[in-house]
Amino acid sequence: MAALGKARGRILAGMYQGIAELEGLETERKRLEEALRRSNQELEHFAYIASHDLQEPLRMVASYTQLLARRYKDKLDADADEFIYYIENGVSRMRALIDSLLVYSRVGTSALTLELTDCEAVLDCALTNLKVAVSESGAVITHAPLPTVMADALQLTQVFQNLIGNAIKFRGKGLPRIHIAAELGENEWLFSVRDNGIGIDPQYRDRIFEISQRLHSRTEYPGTGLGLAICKKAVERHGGRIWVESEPGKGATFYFTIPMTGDR
Amino acid sequence: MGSQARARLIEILLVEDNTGDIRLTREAFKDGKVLNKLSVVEDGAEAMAFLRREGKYTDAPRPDLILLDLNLPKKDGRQVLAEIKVDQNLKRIPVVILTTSKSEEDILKTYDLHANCYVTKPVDLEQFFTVVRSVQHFWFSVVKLPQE
Repeated sequence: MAALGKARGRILAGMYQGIAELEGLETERKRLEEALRRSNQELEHFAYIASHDLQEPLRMVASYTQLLARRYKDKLDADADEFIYYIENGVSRMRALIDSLLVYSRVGTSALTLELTDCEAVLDCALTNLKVAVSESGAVITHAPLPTVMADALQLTQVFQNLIGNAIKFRGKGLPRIHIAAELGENEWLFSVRDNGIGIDPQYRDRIFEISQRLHSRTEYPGTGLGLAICKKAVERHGGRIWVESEPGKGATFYFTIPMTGDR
Repeated sequence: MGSQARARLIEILLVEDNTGDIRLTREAFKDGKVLNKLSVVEDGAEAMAFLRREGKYTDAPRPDLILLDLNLPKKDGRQVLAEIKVDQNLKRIPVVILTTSKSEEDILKTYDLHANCYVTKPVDLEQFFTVVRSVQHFWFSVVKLPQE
């Protein structure tokens, strides 16, 4: 009888110890999560400050290079013109990079304004922003009916804009054909942007969403290498996922989800 | 505007702390067709001293137009604007906010403080020159300035 009592006591003690350990681990997990969240926030804040503060000195370089070119136009030889061209080219690339970094850090840190967002209006807005690229490429853009979702309209516009912009940029030989659709899933909307462009080798399909991971040289396809990273950050802030299905030479379809409930 | 006004030298006060921007603004104003003289102060406190003709500024000219940057040392541009627009002697002088900021908040706040207009400095040099020419044309050829 006493032995049973002792055994029960040991089991209970073991249980209590187990619970205490679990609680300890849980506290530790929460602490690490908080530390990670804070660290991410600091990094994104840093990116914002850096890209913001870099704009002014860049403006000085750009303005005075242009002023030099303007003022000494008649006294400059062909070499000088070429040197100035490279300076101006470097400046405009730097400006594009800083602008992208600003967008990226804002997508990461700014308050998410979740409201009922008409995705057809969002698509319209994105296409208006891409007007020049669309007309220059002759891209044919179609879409299925798109829903109204709870999302940050500005960020969602950015996602559509970047995905469609890429679809146009990485086009193949024929006329770019791009189709946008949405499908109702379980508690989420699944959006897709399909193109008939050059496609992506499956081994790179995760890497392309990382910052600065470009698969082509700058002369082949210009760009800052941040567009998809921005999409990923925006989608994930909404609690969604983003991925691509593609094969080289066979176009690409980018998918992303926007959850329906407040599961952020 | 009579021929008498056109022949007169236009006095402009530029309040700007970035020396690179000061030089650029000078170049842009030189480029224009209106005869003008640009006085420059580099912080908000100097700006008020200049306008009130205090200390070393006893002989300072009264500006026909003030170009005011927002982010200034010592006294912030918004503070300078507020002080100008409540000062009986100074509030008639048109104030053009010339700043790199595109922030909606800044625009609203400065108009609330009775800035005459708000101009965001373009990043491109040619555009900046065009903007300055527009400012000169609008404020000195199109608009009637108060005769003081």
